[in-house]
Amino acid sequence: MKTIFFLDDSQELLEVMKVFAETSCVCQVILASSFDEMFSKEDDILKSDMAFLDINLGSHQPSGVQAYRWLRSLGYNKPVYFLTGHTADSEETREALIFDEAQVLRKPVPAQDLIQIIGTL
Amino acid sequence: MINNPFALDDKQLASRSTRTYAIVALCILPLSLIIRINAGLPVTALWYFSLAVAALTFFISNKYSRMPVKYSSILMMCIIICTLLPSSETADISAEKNLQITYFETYKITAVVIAMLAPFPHFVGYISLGLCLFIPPLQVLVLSREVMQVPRLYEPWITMCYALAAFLVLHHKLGTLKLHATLIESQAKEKNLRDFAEVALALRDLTNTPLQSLDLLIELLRHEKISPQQASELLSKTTYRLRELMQVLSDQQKKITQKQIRQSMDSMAILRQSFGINSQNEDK
Repeated sequence: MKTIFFLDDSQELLEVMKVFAETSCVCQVILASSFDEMFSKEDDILKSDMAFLDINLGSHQPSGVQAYRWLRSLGYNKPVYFLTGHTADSEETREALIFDEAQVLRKPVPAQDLIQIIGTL
Repeated sequence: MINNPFALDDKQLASRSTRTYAIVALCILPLSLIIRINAGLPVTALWYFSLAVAALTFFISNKYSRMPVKYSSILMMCIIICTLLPSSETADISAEKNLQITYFETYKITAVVIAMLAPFPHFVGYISLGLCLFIPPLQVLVLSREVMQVPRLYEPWITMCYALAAFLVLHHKLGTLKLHATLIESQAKEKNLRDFAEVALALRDLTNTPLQSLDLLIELLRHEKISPQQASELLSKTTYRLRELMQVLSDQQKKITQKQIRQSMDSMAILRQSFGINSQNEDK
């Protein structure tokens, strides 16, 4: 069974994502709502098949872009998608757009699109 | 609307102008007294009356710093006339005695002061300089032709030159002030728009996350992949975030406007207006 990693500071979105991915896409889910939680699940995350990273993880917190750099620095070479509620011209989104190996998805991402993305695994 | 503690309104500006000119008048009138005494001229009732008006104006404008602009303007015009008339009187008496003193001294000083002061409202400055420009020649031509007979004075032409130069300086100064005010206003507008864009961005981020949850929950419910009880719990959590956001917005709105908006409003129209979006253009 495929495993997907979700990083988002919104606990309720993580819960919904978990139910959605498990039931609609039939896959396992690893959730993290902060960097500390992500570090504590390092081994499982590196074994996952796809990662969804929220760009804005709250004030005075490292961003999803830094999470992306951390994952790649550990040799994670699976598809990574950034999730953001910001516009394309916001500073954080511009930073995320420079990575060729990652795509930026704007919230709310239609459910069918998510199923399609996860289905490409 | 939040009152800017550093900004003066029209009433305060007008009162300040009147008070400042009252102080100037209280300095000019003793100078005119010294000239009279040195020249051996009498100190008339007009001079005492002018001094009383100057003192009274200073007292009133000092006590009431936010007088209606109309009253401030009237007071200012009165005090200017009261400082100019004793000078005309001095010129009239001196010319009869063929005295070699500086004629229309107060007119010249007033013209310079008005140009530097640029009083508010601006028409007061222009009218005052108009008085300095036209009263001396009218007086000389109609009442005191002897002034022109006094050698090496070149009056009233010198006083008119002062008034004319002061008029140009005042006009230039008011133009510069207007440009400066426009610049400050446009900078303030730009800052407001930037702040508003940042708030809009934050709101977008805060609302898009619950919207994402709602989208996914709808999809799950549509395909019956989630129990109503579990969906209800997740919906409750999602809407709690939105309610929290609405509470913050409501608190801020109360702080800013200090009153509830009672009339109905078109929210989309307000947003479009704030971003300067023309709905017709957008439809195209």
